Amino acid sequence: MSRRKIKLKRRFVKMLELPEDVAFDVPRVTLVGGDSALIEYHRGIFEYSDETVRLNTGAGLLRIDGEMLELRELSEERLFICGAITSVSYEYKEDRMQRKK
Amino acid sequence: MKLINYIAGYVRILIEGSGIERFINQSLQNGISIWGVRRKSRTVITAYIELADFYKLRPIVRRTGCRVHVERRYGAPFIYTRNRGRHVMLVGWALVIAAVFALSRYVWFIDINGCSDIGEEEICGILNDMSIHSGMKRTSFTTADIGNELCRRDERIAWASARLSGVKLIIDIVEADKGVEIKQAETAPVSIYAKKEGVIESIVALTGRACVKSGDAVKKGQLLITGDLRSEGAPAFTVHASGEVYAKVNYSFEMTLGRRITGEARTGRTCEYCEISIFGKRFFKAAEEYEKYELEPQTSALVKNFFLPFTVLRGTCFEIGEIEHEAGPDELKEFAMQKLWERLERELPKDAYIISKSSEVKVGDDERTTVILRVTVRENIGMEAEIGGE
Repeated sequence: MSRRKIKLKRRFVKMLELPEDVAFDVPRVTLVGGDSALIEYHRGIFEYSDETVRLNTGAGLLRIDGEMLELRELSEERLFICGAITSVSYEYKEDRMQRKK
Repeated sequence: MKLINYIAGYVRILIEGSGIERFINQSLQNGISIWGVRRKSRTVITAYIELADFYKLRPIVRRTGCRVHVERRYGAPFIYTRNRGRHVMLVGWALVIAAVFALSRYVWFIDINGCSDIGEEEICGILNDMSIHSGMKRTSFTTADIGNELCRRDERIAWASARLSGVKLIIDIVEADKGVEIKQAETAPVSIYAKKEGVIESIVALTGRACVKSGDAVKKGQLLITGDLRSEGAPAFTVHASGEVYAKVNYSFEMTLGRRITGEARTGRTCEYCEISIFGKRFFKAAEEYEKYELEPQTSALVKNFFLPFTVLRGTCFEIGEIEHEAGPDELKEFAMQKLWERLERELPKDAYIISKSSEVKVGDDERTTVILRVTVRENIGMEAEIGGE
């Protein structure tokens, strides 16, 4: 989608007050304390280990770091992670970072 | 959700391989329900999946190059498989469940609450007459009818209700208040006379006419409130006199004692004792056990409040018993007063109020001691008797 189209779409969504995560296919992360996180609208698991979980999302690679991470509940679009979560971050590609700048 | 999974059955599987993330993604895309994923090592994870979905894993396993093992099985299907051959046990379980269902359709216990004057057996008898008893079907009666019928059959019951609680029928009853019974004797014509001599302090005639007033000195048997209310030229008119007449009455008790009395004193037997007190709780141990005793502790405790409220005491325990002994004048007076007070408490009416007391001690020529206890009390001296009687 071109930048102009993205801008138009953003204005449209804002005007109609539509939920952005559904409209733009971006993930929603709900963190409950440091013990659990619910990630909605992901596109699959990229990497899973005890200390790191990386998920494909519409906004890039979502990275969750912690210890003793467990994928408690899984579905095609939702994922519930339990464990000692220390950080939640996005890993963007280089060109995307440049575009944002 | 857990219950549904248990009924349907689920397994814990071990997935080994390098494409574990692909395996999970493809499972989710194929609608396989997977949960509880945990990493065991770099190439091994464990996860839970439904029993029905296990058979859908085969193509995914082949595509991703992973290996899958079943670690553990959970749920009703596996329990059934394990016990499939145990026909007798299955029949037994079925019979138990059927019996519980069948027996719960009947009333097995009847609880009756609120009985005081009316006995529970009487209520049970009424219920039996109504064909309500233990072992009957729950649907064969209406609880509302039971309450109404109980009230109708026994007038001592003011209100009754019945309710079912499982297999128990609970009956609550409220008994009617008893009416006031008027005793025949309370209507007979009587007057009130003095049962002791004294000085009237207050007189209240509820029925009848008072014949004395406050401050009058009355003798035993004197008329206080008359029930004979006739007046000159009028026909006889008598009532059941009633009222309260309080007067000051003097009592005097006397006791004479010789030098030797039989009273509580040390018998001469002694033993050592030890007492430990911890946080206010006392533990006492004596070398011999006496029925009555007196303790004489040592002047100082062996241990007193050592860091904590903890005290250890030693001393001598003296046995006390009833023995005849020679007593001094003070002991004689104390002994006599104690006996006189006991006699006073036995002889005075329960409603008497002691206004004043005094005592006197006299020693005669024969060295015998006389102790006199005088008390003035306020008490009700009225007593009912037939009109004209004493």
